[in-house]
Amino acid sequence: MDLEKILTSRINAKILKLFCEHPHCIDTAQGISLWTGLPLDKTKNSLQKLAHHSLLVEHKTLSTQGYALTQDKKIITAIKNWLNRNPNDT
Amino acid sequence: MHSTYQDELFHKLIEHPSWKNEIEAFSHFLVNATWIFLPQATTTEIDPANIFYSNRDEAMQMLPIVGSLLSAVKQTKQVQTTINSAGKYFYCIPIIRGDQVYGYVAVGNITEEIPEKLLNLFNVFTCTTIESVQKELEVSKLYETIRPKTIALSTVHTIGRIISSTLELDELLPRIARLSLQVLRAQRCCIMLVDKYKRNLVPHAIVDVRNKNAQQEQLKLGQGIPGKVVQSGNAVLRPQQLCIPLVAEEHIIGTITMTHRLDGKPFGIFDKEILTTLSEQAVIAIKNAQLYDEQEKLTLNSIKALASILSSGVADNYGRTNLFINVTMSIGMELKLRSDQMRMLYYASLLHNVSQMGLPDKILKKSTKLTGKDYKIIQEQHLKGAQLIQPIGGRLKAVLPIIIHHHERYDGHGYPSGLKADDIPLGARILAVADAFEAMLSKRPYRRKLSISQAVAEIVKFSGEQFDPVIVDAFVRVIRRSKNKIFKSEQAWIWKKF
Repeated sequence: MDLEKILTSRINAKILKLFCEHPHCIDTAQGISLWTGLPLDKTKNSLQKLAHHSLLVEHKTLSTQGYALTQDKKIITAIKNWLNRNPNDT
Repeated sequence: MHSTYQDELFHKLIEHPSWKNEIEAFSHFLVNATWIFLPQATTTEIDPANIFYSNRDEAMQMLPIVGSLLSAVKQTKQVQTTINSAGKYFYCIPIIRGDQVYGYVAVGNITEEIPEKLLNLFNVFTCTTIESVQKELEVSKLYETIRPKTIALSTVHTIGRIISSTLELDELLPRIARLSLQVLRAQRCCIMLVDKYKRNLVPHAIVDVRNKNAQQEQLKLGQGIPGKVVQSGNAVLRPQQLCIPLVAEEHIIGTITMTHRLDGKPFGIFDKEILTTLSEQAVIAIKNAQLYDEQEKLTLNSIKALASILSSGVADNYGRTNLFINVTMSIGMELKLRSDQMRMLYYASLLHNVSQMGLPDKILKKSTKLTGKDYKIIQEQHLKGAQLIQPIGGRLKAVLPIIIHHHERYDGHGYPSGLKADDIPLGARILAVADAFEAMLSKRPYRRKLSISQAVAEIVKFSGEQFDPVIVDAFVRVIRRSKNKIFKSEQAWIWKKF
């Protein structure tokens, strides 16, 4: 997984920044779209991709899809380091 | 980090676009003026490191004069002015709104006196800008306070939706455990429920992010932290362990225990509050699932009893067998049906021979080929039999179409409705294959029974005509894989799996 490449997307970076700031958060695409101010369709796509790359964890049922930050410490540290280095890219 | 609100507002003010525009505008009137901005806490001994200016060299030269004016400004909260030996004017103006001073503006090296009207105008603009900045600060603080709480509320809501989406206890409890781990950022979560004898705490879900094979022993009530929590009804909060009782209508039904935060920090009151909120939602979901489970067992027992009664009216050769149920359910699993579909399939497999009730012996025991008239009787009786269970309604309502249509043919030439292909309910298409297979392996008055391979070959031969090809493929895979296990007595998996 190329984290740098994933985070060059402003949408991905903004979503991950939200989760790093609120690590307890589990929310749907609609919720994430509201908190980040990003369009819903782009948020959905981004969330699915981030879950695919295991940066987010998906909690899926027939009616609801919730997303939460991975619990992998290394990945979290790498994300935070990137966000600290690039504060203006979100 | 700003020590006071005044300090915070001052620093925000001098960076605000409106303020900068204001200064720029006034600079046009006060040509070649030097501007210095001083925080409210500035003393007469001005520290250059804590002030802001437009031109450093000129500002440093101004400092002694500004210092001399500052004392009077602090006392009077009014503009103070002086002229130096070169005839240049220097002003020290409080940044004030109402009675509150937020800082000072020193402007100097001006060749002419600033008209009073201009000073008043400066004051008015300053007040307006301060007001804007104050509102922005308020909104920002509100945002910082409310946003995390709103996100937390949304999290609770999302968790509620995820938890409520299943009534299967086996699915629900691990889901609650995973969600709890996620929210509390912990390593391990264990959910234990009190057994029906109220003597032991039985682990029902253990999720450990670092150990997929994590185990938990059963505990007696009073044993270990969870056991003590059940007895006392009080949560236990320790640095590396947090245990909350699951309380339903004043009865403690179990515990949820979190161990080790992933960031290494100790669990705190906030974590306890979150887990308590989660546990309240979880209890409702658990009680619903348990009630549903009881209801399902009741329904199933009722159906079994009904099937027994109905089977007593059907000749042995045409009775339900374990083989039939095993084949039906195995095909369902092979096709990865949902648990609710599997349940309906099971009920249908128990009751499907209700259509043979009332068939006269002359047809059931006929040793020669059936006539057209015989088939008409069979088809009529099929519907009558199915209608016997129709008034029962409830769960059986969904099962009825499977029973009614399991004699349809894929090519549309079946009965009672001549349905074709996917118009035939899926369960009915499965039952058709299982029914035919079982019939071919049974002895009939008019023919001998076939071997397994012969029966399978016959099913395959009529794939696409009598039987759904997808179902036939699944059936063949099941038979090949099972070898002879499928002929054994009714398997316990039927109950456990769904």
